[in-house]
Amino acid sequence: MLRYILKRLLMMIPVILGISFIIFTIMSLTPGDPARLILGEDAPAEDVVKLRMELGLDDPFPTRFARYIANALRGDFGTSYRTRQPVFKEIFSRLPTTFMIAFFGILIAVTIGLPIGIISAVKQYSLIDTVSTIAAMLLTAMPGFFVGMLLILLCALKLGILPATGIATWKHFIMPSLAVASVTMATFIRMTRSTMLEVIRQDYVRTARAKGASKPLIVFRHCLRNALLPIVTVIGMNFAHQLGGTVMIEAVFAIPGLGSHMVTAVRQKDTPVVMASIIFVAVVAGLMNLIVDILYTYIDPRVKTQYTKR
Amino acid sequence: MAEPILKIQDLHVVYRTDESTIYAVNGLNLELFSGETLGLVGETGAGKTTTALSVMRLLPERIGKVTRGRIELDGIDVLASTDADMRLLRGSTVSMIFQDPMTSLNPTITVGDQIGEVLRFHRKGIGQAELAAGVENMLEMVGIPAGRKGEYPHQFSGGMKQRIVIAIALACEPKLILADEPTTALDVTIQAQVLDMMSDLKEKLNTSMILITHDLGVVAQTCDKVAIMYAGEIIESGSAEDIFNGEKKHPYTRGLFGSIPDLTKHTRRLSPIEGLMPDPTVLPAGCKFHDRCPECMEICRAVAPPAVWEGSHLISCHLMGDSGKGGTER
Amino acid sequence: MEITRKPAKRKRSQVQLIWFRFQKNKLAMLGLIVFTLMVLMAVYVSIFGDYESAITMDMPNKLQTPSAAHPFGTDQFGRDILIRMMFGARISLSVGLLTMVLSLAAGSLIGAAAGYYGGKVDNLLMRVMDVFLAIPGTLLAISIVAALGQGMFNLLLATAVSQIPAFARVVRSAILTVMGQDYIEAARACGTRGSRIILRHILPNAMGPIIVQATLNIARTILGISSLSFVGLGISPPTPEWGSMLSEGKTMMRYYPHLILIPGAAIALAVMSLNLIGDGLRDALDPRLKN
Repeated sequence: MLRYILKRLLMMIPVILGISFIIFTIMSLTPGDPARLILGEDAPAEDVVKLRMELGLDDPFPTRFARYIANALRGDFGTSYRTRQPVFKEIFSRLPTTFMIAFFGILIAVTIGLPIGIISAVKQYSLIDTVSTIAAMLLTAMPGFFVGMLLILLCALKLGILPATGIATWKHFIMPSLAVASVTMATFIRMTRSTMLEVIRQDYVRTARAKGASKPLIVFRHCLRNALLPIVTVIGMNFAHQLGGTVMIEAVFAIPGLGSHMVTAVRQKDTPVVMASIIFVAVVAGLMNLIVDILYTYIDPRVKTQYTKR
Repeated sequence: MAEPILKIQDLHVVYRTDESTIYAVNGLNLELFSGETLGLVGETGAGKTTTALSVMRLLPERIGKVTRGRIELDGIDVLASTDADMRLLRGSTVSMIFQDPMTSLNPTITVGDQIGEVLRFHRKGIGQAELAAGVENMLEMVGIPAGRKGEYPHQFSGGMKQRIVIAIALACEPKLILADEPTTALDVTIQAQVLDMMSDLKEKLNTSMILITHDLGVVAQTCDKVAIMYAGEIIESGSAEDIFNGEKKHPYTRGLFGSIPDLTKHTRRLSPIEGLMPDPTVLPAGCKFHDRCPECMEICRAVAPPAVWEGSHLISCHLMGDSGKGGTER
Repeated sequence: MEITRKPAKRKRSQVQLIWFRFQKNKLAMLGLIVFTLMVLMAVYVSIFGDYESAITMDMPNKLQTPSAAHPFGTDQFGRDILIRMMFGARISLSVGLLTMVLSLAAGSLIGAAAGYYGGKVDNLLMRVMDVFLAIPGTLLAISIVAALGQGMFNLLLATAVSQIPAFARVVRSAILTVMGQDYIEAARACGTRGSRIILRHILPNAMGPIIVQATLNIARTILGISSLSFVGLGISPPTPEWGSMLSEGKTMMRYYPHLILIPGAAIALAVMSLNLIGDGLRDALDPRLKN
């Protein structure tokens, strides 16, 4: 088991390097002189040249990339052009907020989506099935930030029961998480429904019926465990998407998380921040994926026996 | 004479989809007594599996429907029973062995638990120890070491999986087993083993069995009675003697026997039956076999053939009636 | 001489069958109708008003409630919301379509190459695609916008690039599935030439999933564009893009909710109708999945 985890972690490394490479390449297409951005428009030319030499901005591409990676491994992601602070500190302090919103969002989406999906599948074509399918589709057709705005409109402005902006208390996390949840809930409902439908059609369900098993037993004991497998995988993969979507939602709720920080950085051409933010997010997403995969090996007997028999 | 364990009268079953209606079973009559084995023979699509599923009321929910007929299992009217009643019957009075062992077992539940389930459903209040003993007993009976009860289906070979399925089916000592082509998906060598085992168990527990198959060789080996199905009807039935050694045969049956490759005869070509079974959504009038029958007469096209009995031998064909060669109509 | 015609039992072509099945799906047809209406609206918006009126401020008329002159009211700059919404449809739909076409073209090339050649080529291409997929699409698009600056073209490029890996995967898997089928081997065994196999067997059967993906992709793109515009990284005011309309309306939404409800509903309708069409196509292409 440990070997599997190590193997997967090792496999993540080239992916992370690849991601860093892609982002680094894209960001190096930015027009403008970083040295100038740091020193300001009016700085004298010699200072600019000196800074360029210091930062090694004229070195060939591979060297600059290698240097970036080497620094990154030491925790040095550069300095923000704007605030002159180390990028790492800024990002790291904001990461938990963003992560929590995305995490709770998925939690809510799964907690609500799974049961609805199961019911929809078991009572296929019933009223509940049709209504929940359409409602889910409608919800998912709305951008996450729009759902956020509707929530603010309803809960904060009209009813006044939840705070609209900031992250001062736990209450502040409710609406943002709900907004994140709304984006994926439909996906979970539909995935659960279609997986369950597939599982219900399987021969082993027929065998269970032939044994005299009752409907609830079949659904919960025989179907669910099998249906859960692909769903768990999707949860992991979805997390990356969620982290991306949280960016917009942070903007709506004025949350000082990684996303809003990134957007500001983009507007102000603060390249080191943008680069580091994206790489961070990708790494976190990758780790979540890995955790989910490991969970999967514990749930699926076919994989479990492969890895624990040793 | 004792009451039959299974009595089917005039069974009609259809499958209704959005696009068409499939007439799967069209007027089937069947009787089976305690301890007997009936071989239900026919090509793919003849309605054999549908018949078995109907007995257990396991037809696909929205699509399959019994439109007419009566099924009596151990004296109980199956079609009039509630769901709860059926659940009590399934697995204990009647059980079914399905065709494909590879997909019949739940991959996420251990083999022991899957066998144990049947016992738990039908032996109310059974204790842990008793359950474990029962499971181990069944495993031993089908030739699988009891110690493997904690393993998962994917850790067994195809033949062993089928034996597990059989163990599940027999765990509660049912009065009737419906075996739907239990050995078709297995190697020939394993086939023999499994069939032998099934015969033994049947003897031991005095169970009745309906063995669905398209393999006449298997039928000859194991069955007391034989019924031959075509397009949802039984067109010939009788004891194994009647069918295999009798002189009169339904043209279809003759075609079936004739199409078996014979190692002793020297022929250049095989002689299959011309044509295909009729489209189950559009069944022909008269005798359903008439367009493939080498001895088709005018009357066959228009009038459904009568059931003609000769002792225990039933043939449903115009050739056998008084318009044909003899025998008595019932 | 008498010329007799055989009563032909009409054999429906594949496409006709698919259309027939699609029609039976009421939700999908609804989606199709709504989407068609949107397209018509986008194309013929000039009948209702010109572009100038959509972007010129008219302060005396600001924040009016829905009336005969302004069916959806006016925004905080006095501009008619209905006209803005309709021009927004034109923008979203055209950018969405273009983006899809771009990413489809690029993705198909990559996916087809990977699927057809297999082996090392496949491995390499898919590893690269996996790396791209590991980056959340929104963030990848943001990074491109960050590098190249804002504007419609860059937005298009950024969104298209972020969708390429998904297409590459779908195309590759569609081609692999078809190539793995026995009938391809059968065709080869009959001596059919490679090019003919591709044209008559692989392409028609692989088309289905690709078209479904393309439809769903436009929906995703519309969401993506509005998201980026909302945070100010895409199409910026005064251009009446739905996302930026939402951003503009946010400050006043407490007392003038129609400022955000209209553009939000527009996005939802466009995306939902496309999703319904995509799902309907998927069901129509493989009805086995339903029963």
